[in-house]
Amino acid sequence: MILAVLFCIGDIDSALSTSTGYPFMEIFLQATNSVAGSAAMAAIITVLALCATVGLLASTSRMFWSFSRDRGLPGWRTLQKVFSTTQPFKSRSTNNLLQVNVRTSVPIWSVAATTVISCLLALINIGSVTAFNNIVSLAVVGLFTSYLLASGLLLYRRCTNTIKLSSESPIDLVNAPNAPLVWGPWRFRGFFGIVNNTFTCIYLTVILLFSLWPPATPVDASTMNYSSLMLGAVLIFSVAYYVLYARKEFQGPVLETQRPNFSDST
Amino acid sequence: MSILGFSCTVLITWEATLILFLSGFQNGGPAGVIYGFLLVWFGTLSVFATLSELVSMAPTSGGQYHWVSMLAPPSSSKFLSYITGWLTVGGWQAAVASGGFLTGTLFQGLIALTVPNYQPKSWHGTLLFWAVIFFAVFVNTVISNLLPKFEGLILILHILGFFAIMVPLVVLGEHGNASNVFTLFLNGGGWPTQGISFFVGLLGNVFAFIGADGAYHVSNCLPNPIPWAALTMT
Repeated sequence: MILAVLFCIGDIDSALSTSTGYPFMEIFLQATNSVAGSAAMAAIITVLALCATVGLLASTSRMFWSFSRDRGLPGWRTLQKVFSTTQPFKSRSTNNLLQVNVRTSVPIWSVAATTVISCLLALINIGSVTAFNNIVSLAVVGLFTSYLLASGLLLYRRCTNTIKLSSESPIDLVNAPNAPLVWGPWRFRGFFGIVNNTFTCIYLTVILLFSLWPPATPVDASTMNYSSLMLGAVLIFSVAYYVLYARKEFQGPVLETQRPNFSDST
Repeated sequence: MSILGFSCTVLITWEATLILFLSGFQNGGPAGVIYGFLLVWFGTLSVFATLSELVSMAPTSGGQYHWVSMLAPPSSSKFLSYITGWLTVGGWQAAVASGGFLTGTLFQGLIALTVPNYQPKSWHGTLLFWAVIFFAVFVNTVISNLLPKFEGLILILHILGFFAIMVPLVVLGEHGNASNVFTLFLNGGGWPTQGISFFVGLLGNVFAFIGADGAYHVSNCLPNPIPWAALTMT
Protein backbone atom coordinates (compact mmCIF):
# COMPACT_ATOMS: atom_id res chain seq x y z
CA MET A 1 0.00 0.00 0.00
CA ILE A 2 2.68 2.43 1.00
CA LEU A 3 4.49 1.53 -2.24
CA ALA A 4 1.43 2.30 -4.34
CA VAL A 5 1.10 5.67 -2.70
CA LEU A 6 4.76 6.51 -3.06
CA PHE A 7 4.64 5.65 -6.74
CA CYS A 8 1.61 7.83 -7.25
CA ILE A 9 2.86 10.99 -5.62
CA GLY A 10 2.56 13.53 -8.36
CA ASP A 11 3.36 16.98 -7.11
CA ILE A 12 5.06 16.53 -3.77
CA ASP A 13 4.84 20.14 -2.70
CA SER A 14 1.12 20.42 -3.22
CA ALA A 15 0.65 17.09 -1.46
CA LEU A 16 2.55 18.31 1.57
CA SER A 17 0.77 21.65 1.76
CA THR A 18 -2.74 20.30 1.22
CA SER A 19 -5.65 22.09 2.87
CA THR A 20 -7.00 18.77 4.17
CA GLY A 21 -4.05 18.39 6.50
CA TYR A 22 -3.44 14.88 5.20
CA PRO A 23 -1.12 14.49 2.19
CA PHE A 24 -2.60 11.12 1.26
CA MET A 25 -5.94 12.76 0.41
CA GLU A 26 -4.17 15.08 -2.00
CA ILE A 27 -2.31 12.12 -3.51
CA PHE A 28 -5.61 10.31 -4.03
CA LEU A 29 -6.98 13.41 -5.69
CA GLN A 30 -4.03 13.71 -8.03
CA ALA A 31 -4.19 10.03 -8.92
CA THR A 32 -7.90 9.80 -9.61
CA ASN A 33 -8.64 13.38 -10.70
CA SER A 34 -12.01 13.08 -9.04
CA VAL A 35 -13.13 14.65 -5.79
CA ALA A 36 -15.91 12.11 -5.33
CA GLY A 37 -13.61 9.16 -5.94
CA SER A 38 -10.87 10.31 -3.63
CA ALA A 39 -13.42 11.30 -0.99
CA ALA A 40 -14.81 7.76 -1.13
CA MET A 41 -11.32 6.30 -0.77
CA ALA A 42 -10.47 8.65 2.08
CA ALA A 43 -13.82 7.84 3.71
CA ILE A 44 -12.85 4.16 3.91
CA ILE A 45 -9.76 5.13 5.86
CA THR A 46 -11.72 7.51 8.05
CA VAL A 47 -14.30 4.86 8.91
CA LEU A 48 -11.55 2.37 9.75
CA ALA A 49 -9.82 4.96 11.92
CA LEU A 50 -13.14 5.54 13.67
CA CYS A 51 -13.44 1.83 14.35
CA ALA A 52 -9.86 1.70 15.57
CA THR A 53 -10.79 4.32 18.14
CA VAL A 54 -13.61 2.05 19.29
CA GLY A 55 -11.08 -0.74 19.79
CA LEU A 56 -8.57 1.56 21.47
CA LEU A 57 -11.22 2.69 23.91
CA ALA A 58 -12.12 -0.93 24.65
CA SER A 59 -8.48 -1.82 25.35
CA THR A 60 -7.84 1.26 27.43
CA SER A 61 -10.91 0.80 29.58
CA ARG A 62 -9.84 -2.82 30.25
CA MET A 63 -6.40 -1.58 31.20
CA PHE A 64 -7.95 0.96 33.60
CA TRP A 65 -10.17 -1.76 34.98
CA SER A 66 -7.35 -4.23 35.45
CA PHE A 67 -5.05 -1.77 37.16
CA SER A 68 -7.77 -0.48 39.47
CA ARG A 69 -8.79 -4.01 40.39
CA ASP A 70 -5.21 -4.31 41.60
CA ARG A 71 -5.69 -1.06 43.50
CA GLY A 72 -3.22 0.85 41.40
CA LEU A 73 -5.28 3.87 40.41
CA PRO A 74 -6.88 6.54 42.54
CA GLY A 75 -10.56 5.71 42.92
CA TRP A 76 -10.02 2.02 42.28
CA ARG A 77 -13.07 1.06 44.30
CA THR A 78 -15.32 2.71 41.77
CA LEU A 79 -13.28 2.08 38.65
CA GLN A 80 -13.25 -1.66 39.06
CA LYS A 81 -17.05 -1.96 39.00
CA VAL A 82 -18.49 -3.63 35.97
CA PHE A 83 -21.91 -3.36 34.48
CA SER A 84 -23.19 -6.62 33.20
CA THR A 85 -26.12 -7.45 31.04
CA THR A 86 -26.34 -11.08 32.06
CA GLN A 87 -24.53 -12.04 35.24
CA PRO A 88 -22.49 -9.79 37.52
CA PHE A 89 -19.31 -11.80 37.43
CA LYS A 90 -18.17 -14.85 35.61
CA SER A 91 -15.98 -17.13 37.58
CA ARG A 92 -13.79 -19.45 35.69
CA SER A 93 -13.85 -23.14 36.36
CA THR A 94 -10.11 -23.18 36.91
CA ASN A 95 -10.09 -20.53 39.60
CA ASN A 96 -12.66 -18.63 41.53
CA LEU A 97 -11.24 -15.20 41.11
CA LEU A 98 -13.36 -12.51 39.59
CA GLN A 99 -13.00 -12.12 35.90
CA VAL A 100 -14.78 -9.77 33.59
CA ASN A 101 -16.24 -11.44 30.58
CA VAL A 102 -15.67 -9.18 27.63
CA ARG A 103 -18.79 -10.29 25.85
CA THR A 104 -21.20 -9.66 28.66
CA SER A 105 -19.78 -7.15 31.09
CA VAL A 106 -18.58 -3.64 30.59
CA PRO A 107 -16.30 -1.90 33.10
CA ILE A 108 -18.59 1.08 32.93
CA TRP A 109 -16.69 3.42 35.24
CA SER A 110 -13.41 2.72 33.52
CA VAL A 111 -15.02 3.54 30.18
CA ALA A 112 -16.35 6.75 31.71
CA ALA A 113 -12.95 7.70 33.13
CA THR A 114 -11.22 7.12 29.79
CA THR A 115 -13.87 9.14 28.00
CA VAL A 116 -13.72 12.10 30.35
CA ILE A 117 -9.93 12.25 30.27
CA SER A 118 -9.90 12.00 26.46
CA CYS A 119 -12.46 14.77 26.10
CA LEU A 120 -10.49 17.02 28.43
CA LEU A 121 -7.32 16.27 26.47
CA ALA A 122 -9.14 17.25 23.28
CA LEU A 123 -9.56 20.75 24.70
CA ILE A 124 -5.81 21.21 24.52
CA ASN A 125 -6.10 21.00 20.75
CA ILE A 126 -7.96 24.30 20.69
CA GLY A 127 -5.07 26.05 22.36
CA SER A 128 -2.08 24.35 20.84
CA VAL A 129 -1.66 21.54 18.35
CA THR A 130 1.95 21.11 19.50
CA ALA A 131 0.91 20.42 23.06
CA PHE A 132 -1.58 17.90 21.78
CA ASN A 133 0.94 16.19 19.54
CA ASN A 134 3.01 15.55 22.62
CA ILE A 135 0.18 13.59 24.12
CA VAL A 136 0.13 11.55 20.93
CA SER A 137 3.80 10.75 21.28
CA LEU A 138 3.24 9.86 24.92
CA ALA A 139 1.37 6.83 23.56
CA VAL A 140 4.55 5.57 21.92
CA VAL A 141 6.83 6.52 24.78
CA GLY A 142 4.64 5.18 27.59
CA LEU A 143 3.84 1.87 25.97
CA PHE A 144 7.37 1.29 24.71
CA THR A 145 8.85 1.98 28.13
CA SER A 146 6.49 -0.58 29.63
CA TYR A 147 7.42 -3.11 26.92
CA LEU A 148 11.08 -2.39 27.51
CA LEU A 149 10.81 -2.97 31.27
CA ALA A 150 9.02 -6.29 30.75
CA SER A 151 11.30 -7.53 27.94
CA GLY A 152 14.44 -6.35 29.69
CA LEU A 153 13.53 -8.24 32.85
CA LEU A 154 12.64 -11.30 30.78
CA LEU A 155 16.06 -11.15 29.12
CA TYR A 156 17.69 -10.91 32.55
CA ARG A 157 15.76 -13.90 33.85
CA ARG A 158 16.40 -15.80 30.66
CA CYS A 159 20.14 -15.26 30.79
CA THR A 160 20.40 -16.10 34.46
CA ASN A 161 18.42 -19.27 33.77
CA THR A 162 15.82 -18.58 36.45
CA ILE A 163 12.89 -19.70 34.35
CA LYS A 164 12.30 -23.41 34.60
CA LEU A 165 10.30 -25.83 32.56
CA SER A 166 6.88 -26.53 33.95
CA SER A 167 7.85 -30.10 34.86
CA GLU A 168 10.85 -28.96 36.90
CA SER A 169 8.85 -26.96 39.37
CA PRO A 170 6.90 -28.96 41.94
CA ILE A 171 5.19 -25.97 43.54
CA ASP A 172 1.68 -25.08 42.50
CA LEU A 173 1.94 -21.33 42.60
CA VAL A 174 4.08 -20.13 39.70
CA ASN A 175 4.65 -16.95 37.71
CA ALA A 176 3.70 -14.62 40.52
CA PRO A 177 5.84 -12.30 42.67
CA ASN A 178 8.23 -14.33 44.83
CA ALA A 179 7.09 -17.54 43.16
CA PRO A 180 9.11 -19.73 40.80
CA LEU A 181 8.99 -18.82 37.15
CA VAL A 182 8.08 -21.43 34.58
CA TRP A 183 7.82 -21.16 30.82
CA GLY A 184 4.42 -21.12 29.21
CA PRO A 185 3.46 -23.43 26.36
CA TRP A 186 4.85 -21.05 23.78
CA ARG A 187 8.40 -19.71 23.62
CA PHE A 188 11.57 -19.47 21.58
CA ARG A 189 14.06 -22.02 22.81
CA GLY A 190 17.67 -21.52 23.80
CA PHE A 191 19.96 -19.30 21.82
CA PHE A 192 17.36 -17.99 19.38
CA GLY A 193 15.24 -16.86 22.30
CA ILE A 194 18.11 -14.78 23.65
CA VAL A 195 18.81 -13.31 20.21
CA ASN A 196 15.19 -12.37 19.67
CA ASN A 197 14.83 -10.97 23.16
CA THR A 198 18.00 -8.93 22.80
CA PHE A 199 16.85 -7.57 19.46
CA THR A 200 13.53 -6.59 21.06
CA CYS A 201 15.34 -4.62 23.73
CA ILE A 202 17.67 -2.89 21.28
CA TYR A 203 14.82 -2.01 18.93
CA LEU A 204 12.71 -0.61 21.77
CA THR A 205 15.62 1.44 23.10
CA VAL A 206 16.43 2.92 19.69
CA ILE A 207 12.81 3.83 18.98
CA LEU A 208 12.35 5.26 22.46
CA LEU A 209 15.42 7.40 22.05
CA PHE A 210 14.32 8.80 18.71
CA SER A 211 10.70 9.28 19.67
CA LEU A 212 11.88 11.96 22.06
CA TRP A 213 13.41 13.96 19.20
CA PRO A 214 11.57 16.89 17.67
CA PRO A 215 10.53 16.45 14.01
CA ALA A 216 12.62 19.26 12.57
CA THR A 217 15.50 21.58 13.29
CA PRO A 218 15.99 24.33 14.32
CA VAL A 219 13.87 23.80 17.37
CA ASP A 220 12.04 26.47 19.32
CA ALA A 221 9.47 26.32 22.07
CA SER A 222 6.55 25.78 19.71
CA THR A 223 8.06 22.94 17.65
CA MET A 224 9.78 21.16 20.51
CA ASN A 225 8.89 17.55 21.25
CA TYR A 226 7.81 17.54 24.86
CA SER A 227 7.29 13.81 25.21
CA SER A 228 10.34 13.52 27.46
CA LEU A 229 8.59 16.04 29.70
CA MET A 230 5.33 14.08 29.50
CA LEU A 231 7.12 10.83 30.28
CA GLY A 232 8.89 12.50 33.18
CA ALA A 233 5.62 13.91 34.46
CA VAL A 234 3.93 10.50 34.43
CA LEU A 235 6.95 8.94 36.13
CA ILE A 236 7.26 11.63 38.80
CA PHE A 237 3.53 11.60 39.49
CA SER A 238 3.37 7.83 39.80
CA VAL A 239 6.48 7.64 41.97
CA ALA A 240 5.16 10.39 44.24
CA TYR A 241 1.74 8.78 44.41
CA TYR A 242 3.35 5.45 45.16
CA VAL A 243 5.51 6.79 47.96
CA LEU A 244 2.78 8.90 49.53
CA TYR A 245 -0.23 6.68 49.20
CA ALA A 246 -0.25 3.66 46.92
CA ARG A 247 2.61 1.91 48.73
CA LYS A 248 0.04 0.76 51.28
CA GLU A 249 -2.84 0.19 48.89
CA PHE A 250 -1.13 -1.51 46.01
CA GLN A 251 -0.14 -5.08 46.79
CA GLY A 252 0.97 -6.14 43.35
CA PRO A 253 -1.30 -7.75 40.80
CA VAL A 254 -4.15 -9.95 41.94
CA LEU A 255 -3.32 -13.55 41.31
CA GLU A 256 -5.02 -14.46 38.11
CA THR A 257 -3.04 -17.48 37.09
CA GLN A 258 -2.68 -20.60 39.02
CA ARG A 259 -0.49 -23.31 37.70
CA PRO A 260 -1.45 -23.67 34.06
CA ASN A 261 -2.48 -27.08 32.99
CA PHE A 262 0.01 -27.82 30.32
CA SER A 263 2.86 -30.19 29.81
CA ASP A 264 6.20 -29.21 28.40
CA SER A 265 6.42 -30.10 24.80
CA THR A 266 10.14 -30.81 24.92
CA MET B 1 -12.11 -14.35 14.47
CA SER B 2 -13.27 -11.38 16.47
CA ILE B 3 -9.94 -11.18 18.27
CA LEU B 4 -8.16 -11.16 14.94
CA GLY B 5 -10.55 -8.44 13.84
CA PHE B 6 -9.89 -6.63 17.07
CA SER B 7 -6.12 -6.69 16.65
CA CYS B 8 -6.38 -5.64 13.03
CA THR B 9 -8.64 -2.74 13.74
CA VAL B 10 -6.67 -1.48 16.69
CA LEU B 11 -3.45 -1.63 14.72
CA ILE B 12 -4.97 -0.53 11.36
CA THR B 13 -1.51 -0.78 9.92
CA TRP B 14 -1.92 0.15 6.30
CA GLU B 15 -4.38 2.90 7.03
CA ALA B 16 -2.18 4.40 9.69
CA THR B 17 0.90 4.40 7.49
CA LEU B 18 -1.07 6.58 5.10
CA ILE B 19 -2.43 8.82 7.82
CA LEU B 20 0.96 9.32 9.40
CA PHE B 21 2.77 9.41 6.11
CA LEU B 22 3.89 13.01 6.58
CA SER B 23 6.41 12.51 9.37
CA GLY B 24 8.23 9.73 7.55
CA PHE B 25 8.17 11.59 4.28
CA GLN B 26 9.72 14.72 5.69
CA ASN B 27 12.40 12.82 7.53
CA GLY B 28 13.56 10.00 5.33
CA GLY B 29 11.73 10.56 2.07
CA PRO B 30 10.10 7.77 0.01
CA ALA B 31 12.99 5.36 0.46
CA GLY B 32 13.09 6.15 4.17
CA VAL B 33 9.40 5.36 4.50
CA ILE B 34 9.81 1.99 2.76
CA TYR B 35 12.90 0.79 4.62
CA GLY B 36 11.56 2.30 7.82
CA PHE B 37 8.36 0.32 7.39
CA LEU B 38 10.34 -2.89 6.95
CA LEU B 39 12.51 -2.16 9.98
CA VAL B 40 9.54 -1.30 12.15
CA TRP B 41 7.63 -4.34 10.90
CA PHE B 42 10.52 -6.58 11.83
CA GLY B 43 11.05 -4.85 15.16
CA THR B 44 7.38 -5.04 16.05
CA LEU B 45 7.32 -8.73 15.18
CA SER B 46 10.22 -9.27 17.57
CA VAL B 47 8.53 -7.26 20.32
CA PHE B 48 5.35 -9.20 19.70
CA ALA B 49 7.23 -12.49 19.94
CA THR B 50 8.79 -11.51 23.25
CA LEU B 51 5.48 -10.31 24.66
CA SER B 52 3.87 -13.52 23.46
CA GLU B 53 6.35 -15.53 25.48
CA LEU B 54 5.26 -13.49 28.47
CA VAL B 55 1.57 -13.84 27.72
CA SER B 56 2.15 -17.54 27.41
CA MET B 57 3.69 -17.60 30.89
CA ALA B 58 1.03 -15.46 32.52
CA PRO B 59 -2.03 -14.73 30.41
CA THR B 60 -3.46 -11.82 32.40
CA SER B 61 -5.43 -8.77 31.42
CA GLY B 62 -2.97 -6.62 33.34
CA GLY B 63 -0.20 -7.46 30.92
CA GLN B 64 3.06 -5.58 31.37
CA TYR B 65 2.77 -4.67 35.05
CA HIS B 66 1.93 -8.24 35.96
CA TRP B 67 4.91 -9.57 34.04
CA VAL B 68 7.20 -6.97 35.57
CA SER B 69 6.01 -7.88 39.06
CA MET B 70 6.78 -11.56 38.53
CA LEU B 71 10.12 -11.02 36.77
CA ALA B 72 11.62 -8.23 38.87
CA PRO B 73 13.76 -8.96 41.90
CA PRO B 74 11.50 -9.23 44.99
CA SER B 75 12.84 -6.06 46.61
CA SER B 76 11.74 -3.83 43.73
CA SER B 77 8.91 -5.94 42.33
CA LYS B 78 6.04 -3.92 43.76
CA PHE B 79 7.50 -0.55 42.87
CA LEU B 80 8.52 -1.42 39.31
CA SER B 81 5.19 -3.08 38.71
CA TYR B 82 3.36 0.01 39.89
CA ILE B 83 5.35 2.32 37.64
CA THR B 84 4.85 0.00 34.68
CA GLY B 85 1.12 -0.02 35.36
CA TRP B 86 1.02 3.75 35.20
CA LEU B 87 3.08 3.86 32.03
CA THR B 88 0.77 1.38 30.36
CA VAL B 89 -2.38 3.17 31.47
CA GLY B 90 -0.89 6.52 30.44
CA GLY B 91 0.25 5.16 27.11
CA TRP B 92 -3.15 3.66 26.32
CA GLN B 93 -4.96 6.77 27.44
CA ALA B 94 -2.76 8.78 25.11
CA ALA B 95 -3.44 6.27 22.34
CA VAL B 96 -7.20 6.75 22.69
CA ALA B 97 -6.74 10.50 22.61
CA SER B 98 -4.56 10.24 19.51
CA GLY B 99 -7.02 7.87 17.84
CA GLY B 100 -9.85 10.29 18.49
CA PHE B 101 -7.76 13.23 17.37
CA LEU B 102 -6.63 11.59 14.13
CA THR B 103 -10.15 10.42 13.30
CA GLY B 104 -11.62 13.82 14.12
CA THR B 105 -9.14 15.62 11.91
CA LEU B 106 -9.64 12.99 9.19
CA PHE B 107 -13.29 13.97 9.13
CA GLN B 108 -12.14 17.56 8.99
CA GLY B 109 -9.87 16.65 6.06
CA LEU B 110 -12.79 14.99 4.29
CA ILE B 111 -14.84 18.13 4.72
CA ALA B 112 -12.00 20.25 3.41
CA LEU B 113 -11.69 17.92 0.44
CA THR B 114 -15.35 17.99 -0.52
CA VAL B 115 -16.42 21.49 0.52
CA PRO B 116 -14.17 23.89 -1.38
CA ASN B 117 -14.63 27.02 0.75
CA TYR B 118 -14.40 25.37 4.17
CA GLN B 119 -12.05 27.08 6.60
CA PRO B 120 -10.66 24.52 9.07
CA LYS B 121 -10.51 25.67 12.70
CA SER B 122 -8.91 23.73 15.49
CA TRP B 123 -12.05 23.85 17.66
CA HIS B 124 -13.90 22.03 14.86
CA GLY B 125 -11.31 19.30 15.33
CA THR B 126 -12.06 19.17 19.04
CA LEU B 127 -15.81 18.90 18.48
CA LEU B 128 -15.31 16.14 15.91
CA PHE B 129 -12.96 14.44 18.35
CA TRP B 130 -15.73 14.44 20.97
CA ALA B 131 -18.18 13.01 18.45
CA VAL B 132 -15.72 10.21 17.66
CA ILE B 133 -15.16 9.43 21.34
CA PHE B 134 -18.88 9.36 22.04
CA PHE B 135 -19.42 7.01 19.13
CA ALA B 136 -16.72 4.75 20.62
CA VAL B 137 -18.42 4.89 24.02
CA PHE B 138 -21.76 4.08 22.45
CA VAL B 139 -20.37 0.98 20.74
CA ASN B 140 -18.53 -0.06 23.89
CA THR B 141 -21.46 0.30 26.26
CA VAL B 142 -24.91 0.36 24.72
CA ILE B 143 -24.29 -2.17 22.00
CA SER B 144 -21.34 -3.93 23.63
CA ASN B 145 -22.93 -7.31 22.96
CA LEU B 146 -22.43 -6.68 19.29
CA LEU B 147 -18.78 -5.75 19.71
CA PRO B 148 -17.37 -9.10 18.49
CA LYS B 149 -19.60 -9.01 15.40
CA PHE B 150 -18.65 -5.41 14.86
CA GLU B 151 -14.96 -6.32 14.92
CA GLY B 152 -15.52 -9.12 12.42
CA LEU B 153 -17.27 -6.71 10.09
CA ILE B 154 -14.45 -4.23 10.36
CA LEU B 155 -11.93 -6.94 9.56
CA ILE B 156 -13.71 -7.46 6.23
CA LEU B 157 -13.72 -3.73 5.55
CA HIS B 158 -10.04 -3.60 6.51
CA ILE B 159 -9.16 -6.18 3.87
CA LEU B 160 -11.57 -5.06 1.13
CA GLY B 161 -10.74 -1.41 1.72
CA PHE B 162 -7.10 -2.16 1.05
CA PHE B 163 -7.95 -3.23 -2.49
CA ALA B 164 -10.58 -0.55 -2.93
CA ILE B 165 -7.85 2.02 -2.48
CA MET B 166 -4.92 0.16 -3.99
CA VAL B 167 -6.61 -0.62 -7.32
CA PRO B 168 -7.72 2.91 -8.28
CA LEU B 169 -4.34 4.27 -7.24
CA VAL B 170 -2.41 1.80 -9.34
CA VAL B 171 -4.72 1.90 -12.34
CA LEU B 172 -5.51 5.61 -12.50
CA GLY B 173 -2.48 7.26 -11.02
CA GLU B 174 0.59 8.39 -12.86
CA HIS B 175 3.53 6.37 -11.75
CA GLY B 176 6.80 7.77 -10.61
CA ASN B 177 9.93 5.88 -11.49
CA ALA B 178 11.25 3.11 -9.31
CA SER B 179 14.72 4.48 -8.79
CA ASN B 180 13.24 7.63 -7.29
CA VAL B 181 10.98 5.75 -4.96
CA PHE B 182 13.52 3.26 -3.71
CA THR B 183 16.56 5.48 -3.47
CA LEU B 184 15.32 8.99 -2.73
CA PHE B 185 16.08 9.86 0.85
CA LEU B 186 14.95 13.25 2.09
CA ASN B 187 16.14 15.20 5.06
CA GLY B 188 13.30 17.68 5.51
CA GLY B 189 13.99 18.27 9.18
CA GLY B 190 17.40 19.77 8.45
CA TRP B 191 19.29 17.22 10.51
CA PRO B 192 23.08 17.03 10.30
CA THR B 193 23.06 13.54 8.77
CA GLN B 194 20.59 11.51 6.72
CA GLY B 195 20.81 8.72 9.28
CA ILE B 196 19.42 10.84 12.11
CA SER B 197 16.68 12.10 9.84
CA PHE B 198 15.73 8.50 8.97
CA PHE B 199 15.43 7.48 12.60
CA VAL B 200 13.47 10.59 13.55
CA GLY B 201 11.06 9.87 10.68
CA LEU B 202 10.53 6.32 11.91
CA LEU B 203 8.04 7.55 14.49
CA GLY B 204 5.14 7.65 12.04
CA ASN B 205 5.68 4.01 11.14
CA VAL B 206 6.14 3.11 14.79
CA PHE B 207 2.85 4.72 15.71
CA ALA B 208 1.14 2.78 12.93
CA PHE B 209 2.10 -0.41 14.73
CA ILE B 210 1.24 0.70 18.21
CA GLY B 211 -1.28 -1.14 20.32
CA ALA B 212 0.18 -4.58 19.80
CA ASP B 213 -0.58 -5.47 23.41
CA GLY B 214 -4.25 -4.49 23.08
CA ALA B 215 -5.46 -7.99 22.37
CA TYR B 216 -3.68 -9.25 25.49
CA HIS B 217 -5.63 -6.89 27.71
CA VAL B 218 -9.00 -7.67 26.22
CA SER B 219 -8.71 -11.39 25.84
CA ASN B 220 -6.61 -13.51 28.07
CA CYS B 221 -6.85 -16.62 26.00
CA LEU B 222 -4.86 -16.27 22.84
CA PRO B 223 -3.97 -19.86 22.02
CA ASN B 224 -1.12 -19.28 19.64
CA PRO B 225 -0.16 -15.65 19.50
CA ILE B 226 2.55 -15.51 16.88
CA PRO B 227 0.65 -16.48 13.73
CA TRP B 228 -2.07 -14.08 14.80
CA ALA B 229 0.47 -11.37 15.26
CA ALA B 230 2.01 -11.91 11.87
CA LEU B 231 -1.42 -11.86 10.24
CA THR B 232 -2.46 -8.68 11.95
CA MET B 233 0.55 -6.80 10.86
CA THR B 234 0.53 -7.34 7.11
